[in-house]
Amino acid sequence: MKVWWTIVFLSLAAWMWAQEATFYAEVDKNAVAKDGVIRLDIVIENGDMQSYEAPAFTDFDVLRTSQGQSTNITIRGNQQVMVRRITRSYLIRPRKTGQLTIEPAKVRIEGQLLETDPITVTVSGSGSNPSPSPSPNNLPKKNIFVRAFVNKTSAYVGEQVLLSYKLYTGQNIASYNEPTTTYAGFWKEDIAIKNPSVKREVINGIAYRTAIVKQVILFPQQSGTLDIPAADMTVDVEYNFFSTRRIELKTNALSLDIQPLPNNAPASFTGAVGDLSLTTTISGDSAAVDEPITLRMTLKGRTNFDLLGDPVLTLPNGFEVYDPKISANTSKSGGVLSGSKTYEYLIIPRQPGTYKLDPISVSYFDPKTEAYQTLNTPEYTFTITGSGAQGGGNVIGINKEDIELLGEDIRYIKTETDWTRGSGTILGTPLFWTLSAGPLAAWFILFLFVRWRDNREVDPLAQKQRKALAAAQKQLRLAEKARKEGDNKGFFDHIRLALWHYARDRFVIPQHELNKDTITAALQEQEVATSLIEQYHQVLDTCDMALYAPIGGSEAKDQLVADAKQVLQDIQTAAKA
Amino acid sequence: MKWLLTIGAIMALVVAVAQPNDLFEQGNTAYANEEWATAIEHYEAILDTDYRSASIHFNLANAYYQIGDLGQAILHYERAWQLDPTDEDIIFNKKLANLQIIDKVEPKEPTFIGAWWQSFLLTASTNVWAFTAVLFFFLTLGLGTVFLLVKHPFWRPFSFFGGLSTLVIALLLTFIAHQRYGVTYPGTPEAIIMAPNVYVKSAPKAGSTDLFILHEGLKVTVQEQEGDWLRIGVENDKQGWVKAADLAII
Repeated sequence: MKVWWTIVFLSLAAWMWAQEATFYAEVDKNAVAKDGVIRLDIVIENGDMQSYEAPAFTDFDVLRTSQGQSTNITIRGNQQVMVRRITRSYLIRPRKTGQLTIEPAKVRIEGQLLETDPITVTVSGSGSNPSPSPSPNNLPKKNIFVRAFVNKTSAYVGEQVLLSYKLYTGQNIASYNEPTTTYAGFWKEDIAIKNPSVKREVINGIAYRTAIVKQVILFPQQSGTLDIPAADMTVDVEYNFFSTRRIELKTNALSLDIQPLPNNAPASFTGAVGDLSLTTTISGDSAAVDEPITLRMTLKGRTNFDLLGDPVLTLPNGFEVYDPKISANTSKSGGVLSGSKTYEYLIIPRQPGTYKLDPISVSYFDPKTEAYQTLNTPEYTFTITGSGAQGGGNVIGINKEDIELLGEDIRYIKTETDWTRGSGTILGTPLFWTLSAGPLAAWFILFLFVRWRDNREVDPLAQKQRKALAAAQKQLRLAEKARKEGDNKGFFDHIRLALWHYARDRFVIPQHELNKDTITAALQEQEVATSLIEQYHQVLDTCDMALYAPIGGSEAKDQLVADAKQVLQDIQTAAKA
Repeated sequence: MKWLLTIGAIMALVVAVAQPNDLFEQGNTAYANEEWATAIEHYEAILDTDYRSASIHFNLANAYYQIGDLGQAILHYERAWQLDPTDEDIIFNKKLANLQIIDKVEPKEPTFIGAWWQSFLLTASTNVWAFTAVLFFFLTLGLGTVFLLVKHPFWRPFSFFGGLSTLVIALLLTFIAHQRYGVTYPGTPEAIIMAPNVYVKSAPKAGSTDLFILHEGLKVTVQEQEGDWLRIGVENDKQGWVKAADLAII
């Protein structure tokens, strides 16, 4: 048990001593009269001095030197810290007037050479040493002041800049009012400081207690040189135990160089400058019609969410979405505005199908890389089941008449039908071509025939020649007719005419030249066989004789007609032309 | 062996029943009893044969409409309309069904002359126009024959000018018949989107960019085929590629 406690104590002690060595010089005042005395303390904290070199004191006389050592326990934050302090004190007097410098002291601690800052002292020419006790009318205003500073002097439009006001005081402050000024051209976020943490700082040899009294996060809204005018501040300083004095202070003015954002902003850029990350979750990738799907999208990062436009969710037709539920939380810790913003979309599918949700894009400008960055949600695919509402929520662009129609039901089926088979149209079928082009073709053929026939009818002799046999056969039929009527003469006359006219027409012999010799000559010319020519004459002779010596039997008459037919037929075949 | 016989018996039965009129009556009865699926089965059985009629497509479309299959309903209303473009019931139901679709594509407004010409074309079916043309071709033949054969001082000029007129009329009627055919069967084929929704792509590839989205029941024109993909156009001149399986050609 004892051992355990010892270990705890030792480790605690070790931890507490683990402080960095500091080395500084401070004066009780840095403005004195010519014969005034200044107290200079050279302090080493938490260090083992290996060698020490005092300041040169070129312009000062050292009146007295002393050395002291102390160990203090101070509370820093919520920790107790032990500070071991070695102090060398010098009482010095300036040798001349004007701006004098106390040169640095040097020390070697743990092998490291440290130097104090040089201290400038103003020595005035007048002989009287100012009274060390302050009076109300002559308050030492010089050991209290406030400074404004920014964490960067150049920034992009929209990039956050931290502006801090630090109060330096050598006196006890009862209370103060925050510095106020105007911030034209900026969007600002104040950081409330409830308990300013007090630090010790040495400026030109004089130790001050310092505290950040106000911090503002600024978002430049326009490019160019933006000025922050000097801020006014009032401080109530403890004057004595009972009363305070109000002191008015003014900070320094600041000027920031603000650059415009590059022109190549993506379409999804809505003004975020800083850094962002995007996470999305979805309640499910399948749903029934009218069953809502929740899409939750969270943007997180260091930017001004108030200036950020909402990302655009584009949904395919057949979906409805309500305005998103937006929740945001921001933090200003560490002087940086950061936070997260969550959009919760309730998406209601109205039609079945498989739909893709286009990725939602959010862009921001990253001042570190000096480039736009784009974040995308994953591409979600939904499968919607069920059946859509009849004429549901998506009736856009239809007129009043159509809306009235929507209320109606479809008309009843037809109970009568007639059937077609195949393609149902005759256009382009062979039947149609036959029926339309056929008549035209038929007429054209008829036209050709008529023209051909007309050409032949131009020569009457040729016509007669062509019809010679038909005419002769007609005469023979007339002969048969005459025979039936008992006209014996007519019978033989018709046969004779048949033979005579046939020869006349067939061989184109003029009527006045028509006799047996010319016929014979014509037949010979046509290279008709002699026996056939004789047969022809024989039939003619029989007819001639019968006019005077009638041949009796009907058989003979039959024979005569048959012979006549035969001989004409044979001549028709035998003749060349 | 036994099952073969059974199938044979069923087949014989089907063949015996598969007279279009019987199926039509059975479909109508099923429809009247609100047995939509049965009605569809019967009507589709008719369409498996080569029998067609405006009524059968109309009734089938009605049955599909009743079960909420908008794509099939509109497809068959369109087919019914092709066969009988002047039937008021078909026009009415087709319009009603088209009100249910999600994509509203404004149809191109025809010009006054265009509308008049179309209604003139629709006064008769393609076949009526075609047969009238055939009649005039025969009239031309008749008058032409008179012209060739009869040399009468009145009939000859009458038949000449008459024949010429009937020929012009016949050719005009043939043209009209083709125009009339083009009203219901346009030169670029049309199709109906059958899937609940389709993403129209920029190229005939699965990974290509989505251009826009179309929903069931919309009528599109089919301009080109490339493998399984069809290049389609919507009335407002948008174009893109979709899978052929998501469409049905009217």
